[in-house]
Amino acid sequence: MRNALSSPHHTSTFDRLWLAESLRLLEEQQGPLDDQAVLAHLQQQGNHRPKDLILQRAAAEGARLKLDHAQQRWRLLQRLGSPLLALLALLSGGLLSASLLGDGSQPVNIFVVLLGLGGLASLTLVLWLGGMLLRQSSSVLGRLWLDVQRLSLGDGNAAWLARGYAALLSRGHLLRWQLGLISHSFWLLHLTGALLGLVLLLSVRRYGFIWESTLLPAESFITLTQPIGMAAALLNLPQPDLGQIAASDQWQRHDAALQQAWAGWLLAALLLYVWLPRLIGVIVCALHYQRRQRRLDIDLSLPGYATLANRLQHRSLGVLDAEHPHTSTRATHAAPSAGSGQWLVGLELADDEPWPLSHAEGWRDGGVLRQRQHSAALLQGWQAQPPQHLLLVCDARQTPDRGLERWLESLANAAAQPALLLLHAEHSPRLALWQQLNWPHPRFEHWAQAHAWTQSA
Amino acid sequence: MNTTALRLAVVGHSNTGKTSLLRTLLRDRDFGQVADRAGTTRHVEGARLSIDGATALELFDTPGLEDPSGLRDYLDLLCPSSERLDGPARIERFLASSEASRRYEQEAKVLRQLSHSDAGLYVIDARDPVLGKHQDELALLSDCAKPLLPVLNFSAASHNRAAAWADALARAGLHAYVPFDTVAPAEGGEAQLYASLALLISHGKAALTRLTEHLAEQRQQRQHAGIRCIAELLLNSAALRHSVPSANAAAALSELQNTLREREQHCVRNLLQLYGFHPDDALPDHLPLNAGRWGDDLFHPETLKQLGIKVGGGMAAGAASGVGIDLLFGGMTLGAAALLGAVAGGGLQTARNYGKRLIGKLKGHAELTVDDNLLRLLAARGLWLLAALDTRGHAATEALQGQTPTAPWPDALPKPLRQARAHPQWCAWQEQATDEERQRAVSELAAVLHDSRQA
Ligand SMILES: Nc1nc2c(ncn2[C@@H]2O[C@H](COP(=O)(O)OP(=O)(O)OP(=O)(O)O)[C@@H](O)[C@H]2O)c(=O)[nH]1
Ligand SMILES: [Mg+2]
Repeated sequence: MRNALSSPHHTSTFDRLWLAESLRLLEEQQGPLDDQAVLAHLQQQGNHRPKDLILQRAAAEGARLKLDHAQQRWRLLQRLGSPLLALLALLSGGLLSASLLGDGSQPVNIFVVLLGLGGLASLTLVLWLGGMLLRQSSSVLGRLWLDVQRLSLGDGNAAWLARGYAALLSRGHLLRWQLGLISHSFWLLHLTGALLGLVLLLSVRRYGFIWESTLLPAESFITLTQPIGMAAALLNLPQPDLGQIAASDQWQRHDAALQQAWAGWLLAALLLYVWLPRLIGVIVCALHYQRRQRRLDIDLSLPGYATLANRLQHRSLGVLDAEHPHTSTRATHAAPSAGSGQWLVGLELADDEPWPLSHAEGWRDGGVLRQRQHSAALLQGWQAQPPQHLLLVCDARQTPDRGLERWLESLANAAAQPALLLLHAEHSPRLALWQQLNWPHPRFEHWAQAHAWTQSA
Repeated sequence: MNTTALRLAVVGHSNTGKTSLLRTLLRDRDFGQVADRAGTTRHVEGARLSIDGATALELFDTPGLEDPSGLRDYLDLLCPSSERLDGPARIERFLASSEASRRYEQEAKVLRQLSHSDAGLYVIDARDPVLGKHQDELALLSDCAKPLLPVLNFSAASHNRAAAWADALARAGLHAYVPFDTVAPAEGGEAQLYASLALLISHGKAALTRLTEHLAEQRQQRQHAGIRCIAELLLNSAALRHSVPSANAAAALSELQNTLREREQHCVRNLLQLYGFHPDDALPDHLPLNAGRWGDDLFHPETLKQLGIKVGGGMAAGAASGVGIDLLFGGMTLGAAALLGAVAGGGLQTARNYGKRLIGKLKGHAELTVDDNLLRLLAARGLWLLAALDTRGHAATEALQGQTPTAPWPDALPKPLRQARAHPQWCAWQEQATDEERQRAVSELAAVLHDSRQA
């Protein structure tokens, strides 16, 4: 894992994106991977761009699932397979030429050769073009090649790579260009093989070209031949004139110029109308592919990546100023043993709280204190004459804090019998906090309890 | 770019929601500890907000000031007025004093952190009455001589005392403040907070503006991602075809229903995770969601009714099962047409899929598909949850108000879903489902969902 993390650059950007995409699909369908170890490691490295973090995580997790090996296998297959495929294409082209031309002992129908070598190639090109216009990727060859690669991965984890590959390419809108590139390249090589074979055979053997048909009238050949012949004119190759075309409905065995004219016509037509479009196809696909491949990136608005970016982002700066627990020593005051009178004092009550309390006849009103310093006057007075009963009144809806606790304590220490009355206890979700308060004296939630307390004493 | 990030201390009385505010600003519900009592946080803890790997803002959570009145008295003792020390000098003397590591340790941490920061966010529980301790607190904080932005938390609560607070703050010389509810932050509340802050810290203006933009961008990304989650769920469901021998159709029904329940659950989990919530986080009351699960069963007719999906009499039985049985025409005709397409360019996988289906057809199998109404129900619930998550802060627990939505598309399903019906190979639960056409359909559906969200 460490290796994968520390040197994520040994693979190409595309491969890293591919791995990330495969894992994204895997996690989308099968739930998240357990990446805690990787996460911890990434977090130690500090702050990084979210996209880099996602790629690094993918590299580490991919290595754990052995997807990197599968990726290498895929690449190896590609490296071994593509020359083989290229060879196959070249050979098949050459063989096709040879079989169409024969050994020269028979006349050769020029249109059969033209159709045989260029027909299927042109038809598939037109189909491909149509597919592109309909924004469909209709490249049988390309698909087959992908399928073969996919089979090489087998099932299990590595199968997700095949999905990831196709998903990444289609997300970047380059799947069709890649499929196109594969099939155009194949056809281009096939046609090159065919043309080479043709040139070779035409240079070492003499063939006699004719046109013949049972169904079609002669004029149609003548009208067809001329526009196709424009290719030869463009390339400055010989082509049959009208008379020669007309004469070619029979085998003119000894007319060398005629056969040369047909050969030039055939080569030019194949080169310009069949081979060249494929070459253009290869170039266009390759350019598009490259341009779009460079734009491939982690798309953070995809659910999987968005979640990851959020999760991988290292936010914490840690605890900076830790707590040093210390035992606070409570000063124990000797409370006055006896006092006189009953006092009622409100602490930190809101100003819309009715005061004095409604049942408080017979109590001396200490007022509502909202500021700690304001209790100084009361305390001073009580030094001479401490209260017997001191009822401190608080609002149970508020949060008791350390400051209040100290305040309560300082007041309680001044009375013989202090107690706490909590207002609104019945609607306070924070009552429990008041019950946990460090208050060793009686605590009431109703006025009646406070009343009973003064009576009993 | 300047290398030192802005540093912000979040300060205030205890239990006013400082840690909650940080959670919301960081979108991290695991930050620190939150509890409804004083003294939950007892240390200073930092976290950063980054833009593309560069720290833009450092935020520091501090303990609550629990005993400001006592501390103020102590300060007066330390620094007699005859010495005429200024605020920072008074704070310095206090931090060097013995009580700074004893009785007032907590307060010392706050003042130290604020003194080392560029500015402070002063968090107020707007429901609290303004008391003497708060005035003492403001005096202490202003002694640090740092810009302070009061944040009125709980400003969405019904009985708040925002007016009294505004008055008290003005008396302390703080005239700008922002309302902010950490549980249900108002739309744009965060941007307003940073904008107000930028007015106080002039050298941080550019960084804060960039941060605001970045956050808006991220929010959009999250929304898009959420919508895509729902779009995937819908598209997969619409494309789903379950081929079973006709005789066993009834048994297969419940199997398919379970699949759908699970997949919806999966989507809910993803959405929660996307917004950084845990499944057991409390979610708005009006969402019938418990521990990350919808309380109402997907296949209960009542659930459909609640979301305003009308089910015609004859269809009721089928709708309650949520599954249509595609006996003859649908599957067959689509199958044959698409088989041609598959041969033309779909590759082995697709051809195999159609082959299997054709054989199934010949053997007299039925194909189960997901009902239109069920798709509408899934869409409604997904969008509902998304909307709730989008406005929910990463703090606490209180329920939000809201109303049950009505299901979208009463007349006909949107085009991408109708397309998906004809493309069983788009169902990512069964197939590779990686072709470009499918991705286009997902994007289109996401756009449709986005629109129906706005409507
Ligand atoms: N309804 C609502 N509850 C909130 C809001 N902000 C915080 N809370 C709740 O208020 C309580 C206190 O929140 P904390 O974030 O722990 O407060 P604190 O200021 O960090 O507290 P200490 O660390 O103890 O000083 C918790 O129960 C939160 O759930 C808010 O905006 N709305
Ligand atoms: Mg806290």
